[in-house]
Amino acid sequence: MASLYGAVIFVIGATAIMLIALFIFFQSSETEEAESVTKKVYAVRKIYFFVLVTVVLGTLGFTLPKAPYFKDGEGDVIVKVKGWMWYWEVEPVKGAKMEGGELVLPAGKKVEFRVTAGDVNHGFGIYNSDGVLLTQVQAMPDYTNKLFYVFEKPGTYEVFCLEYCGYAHHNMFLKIKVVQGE
Amino acid sequence: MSGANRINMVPYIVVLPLVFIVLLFLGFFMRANQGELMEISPDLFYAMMTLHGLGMAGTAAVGGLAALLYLNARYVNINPKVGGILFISYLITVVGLITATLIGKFGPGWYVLYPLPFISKGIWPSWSIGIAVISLVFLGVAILIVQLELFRAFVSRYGLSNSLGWQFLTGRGEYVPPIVIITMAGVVLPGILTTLVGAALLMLYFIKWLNPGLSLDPLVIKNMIFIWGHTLVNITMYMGIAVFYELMPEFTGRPWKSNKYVTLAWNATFFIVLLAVFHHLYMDFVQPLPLHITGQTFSYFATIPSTVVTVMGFIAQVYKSGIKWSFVPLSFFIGVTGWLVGGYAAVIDSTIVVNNQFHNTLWVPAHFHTYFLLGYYPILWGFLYYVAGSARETLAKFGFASYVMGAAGFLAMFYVAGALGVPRRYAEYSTFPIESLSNIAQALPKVAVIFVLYVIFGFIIMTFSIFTGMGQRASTRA
Repeated sequence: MASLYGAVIFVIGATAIMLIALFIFFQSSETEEAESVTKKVYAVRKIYFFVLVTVVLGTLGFTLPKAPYFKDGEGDVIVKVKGWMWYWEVEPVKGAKMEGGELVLPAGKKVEFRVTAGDVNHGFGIYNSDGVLLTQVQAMPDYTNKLFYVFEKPGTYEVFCLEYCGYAHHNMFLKIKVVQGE
Repeated sequence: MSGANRINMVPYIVVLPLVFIVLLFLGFFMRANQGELMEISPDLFYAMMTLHGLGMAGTAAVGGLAALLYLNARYVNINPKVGGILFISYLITVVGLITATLIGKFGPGWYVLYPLPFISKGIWPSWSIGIAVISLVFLGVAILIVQLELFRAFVSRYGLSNSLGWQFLTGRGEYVPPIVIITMAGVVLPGILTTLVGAALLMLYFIKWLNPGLSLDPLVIKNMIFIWGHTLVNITMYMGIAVFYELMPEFTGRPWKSNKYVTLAWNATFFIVLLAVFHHLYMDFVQPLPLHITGQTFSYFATIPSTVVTVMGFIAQVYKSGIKWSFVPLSFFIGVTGWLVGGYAAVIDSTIVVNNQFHNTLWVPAHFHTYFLLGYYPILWGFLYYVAGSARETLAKFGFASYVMGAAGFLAMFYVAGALGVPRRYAEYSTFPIESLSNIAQALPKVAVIFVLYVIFGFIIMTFSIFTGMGQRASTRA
């Protein structure tokens, strides 16, 4: 959903910027004393400054707590994932299993992915079957990133590599099957 | 001071647009491959992608530094040799990178994320790594020399505190440097600091190339890469701003004066440039939390000086000024608008919770192509046109209209794909296991390449116009 909000906010803002630019452009053919224009712009600037600072601080306060770093503790389900050129090595630790090359997870449980890499950097990005990117984390050698995610709906999910990793980066996937939990 | 003429811009005017055209074609081929309109092997695709990225970032930085040397030489005594050093180093780097990528298939991407350059699974040979690293050392050293020379020239003419505009804050100080000095003093300083980080990084890469057994910390190196790469790109954008600060008053007839607000804005930019860097590492959850928060906070703060002071100042220049829209101010106007739109998209992506779904999707190239293709580069072309003094005004504007229209359409395809979660840096989209995403990911570049042709067509016309202007000026002098 965050990407949808981001895109909508972008379209609104970018349209506003372009409309203002067009307005300034078409007004530019008229002439007015520089001093009087500067006074007007400074007056607008004062209001704009306070509005902008309010929006900036407000948005920071609203969005920072939603960052994915604050989900701590241990998952109901634990899976170790290691990225290699160009495949995913998966080791179910708790409440998960591998079945025919697919990772099987229960729906509605807090899944903890412990993500690392064996050679170069990779990106562990989870998409649903509609092609929506749900969440992601980097897979870096020597470090383990913990990603928590709850799959609300049973179904098929796909992991794409989301950090460029060389020749077959575009061919590095993992299928996840989410089944109804007990 | 007639120092402006001491910086020879002719080599830059000739070479930068030609390199840019080649890089545009690389972009065209990559999008055509993603749209299944042609077939490029993945090793060549990723080598082209690496050359395209390094080439665009490097050409932008070199063009901006050359412009700064030229414009600041109006006020301070700059050693003209540094312009020559920069140009020759740039040529060496261009030749080296073309050899490493197109012949050696060196393809770890433009920010050469460790340890990928050294682990290619046999795709690129060891010699291509060495050539790429040495080429980048040439460019890095030249950039550092120019930044140091600019800073030396500012300080020796105006003193350190005056160069940073502090006399406007303290009320003391004898000299009042022009606005271009205050803006650039605040930006060249973090440039020097981070170029030193880049130098250390390249040295480590060089040693790693000689001794493959050496092991480096991937997270530390990633931080170093972005401290250098992000700042270089960011500063390049600000160099574009300095260009229109200096030149726009010549077209509007309104002076753009230094004052305490300009000083505060550009002194704040010093910190913002350095501290926003960390937004590149949001998805590395092991990075210390305060750095993540710093990244988003300072990315947001960047909007304050850039819009409150710079954009409002630009509006005060243009609004009801009776300006005649010749090519140069028009390119600046489009450049400022593109810079704002691209910057706005970047700020949205710098929100951690949004970045969790935008990171490494096509949203990323969408925003940086906006503030380069429609932001910084139009300003650079306007500057080169200004120096060349073309007489083919109508032709240049016709080419520019094609360029802008093409760029807008091309970028729209990136934004739509990014919002839909299409990953960036994929040689092919036909491999996707999700059919709906695969279909849309392949359809969008098919449309994008048509727009790229408009960009290339328009830019060739603009280049022709600049070249003929330069030729006319030379024949008039003769």
